[in-house]
Amino acid sequence: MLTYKNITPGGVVVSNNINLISQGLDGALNRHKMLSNNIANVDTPNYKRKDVDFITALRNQFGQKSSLSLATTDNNHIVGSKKANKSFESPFLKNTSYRNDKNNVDIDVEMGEVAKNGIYYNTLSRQINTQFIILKDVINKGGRQ
Amino acid sequence: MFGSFDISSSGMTAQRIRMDIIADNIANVNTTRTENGGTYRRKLPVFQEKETTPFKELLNAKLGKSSSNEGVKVTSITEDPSPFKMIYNPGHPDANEEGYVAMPNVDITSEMVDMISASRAYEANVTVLNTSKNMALKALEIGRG
Repeated sequence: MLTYKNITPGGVVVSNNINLISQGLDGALNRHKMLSNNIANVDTPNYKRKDVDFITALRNQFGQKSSLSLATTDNNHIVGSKKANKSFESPFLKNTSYRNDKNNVDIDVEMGEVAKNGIYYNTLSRQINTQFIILKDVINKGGRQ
Repeated sequence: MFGSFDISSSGMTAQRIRMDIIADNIANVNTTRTENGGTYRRKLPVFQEKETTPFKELLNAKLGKSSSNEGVKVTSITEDPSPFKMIYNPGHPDANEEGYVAMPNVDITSEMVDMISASRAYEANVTVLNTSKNMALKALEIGRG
């Protein structure tokens, strides 16, 4: 019996795909903000670039076979493998220097990352759209004989 | 969502100020009389990473979020302390007793190089702003199909 608590925003039908993709969208947006900041500070002395590796974080969170937590009544029971929500880590690369002014922003790398991240975001947004279309099909056509 | 827009536009503002200063330096490459008296000194913008507003910082702290720095700002416009170029020109009204005139410490070549750098950095910020815009538009398309 499913309780309300167990139903993710995606519902039973599309499992937690919508939930996963929307987390990916959030991560990509967050990363885009950091990359914009790097590019805005391309000429700021002593500035060190900031980045976030959210894809690995997402993979760690959703990579397991089961994403549901299990209730246990005995210590020997196997617990569900879902881990607690881990916030995105933002590694600050503090040691390196790219130029004499101790700034380590490489504009070419940053632009490449912005382009990649933008395409990634657009791909995810298309994917989530497809998920909604599937959901709509189920709602519209499910009752027909 | 709109944080990255503000970051990119702060970068554009900073590069535009830099461009204005370069234009001022080039326009005054031969100026020997300024408001303060004396020869024109080359001006330089000082860039610094922009911290969040106190309000935003407090809000984020209350919401349990960490606030990061956002964008870049020009903290001050300083004068280049390097010595003036002494040119022998006894006919000049500002020449000293030996016939030397103190000419501004503006080097046209380095100003030109700075100008290209400012222009490219501005373009980089525009590209990021366009990517942000496309991402926002893609997000608007979610659920329409």
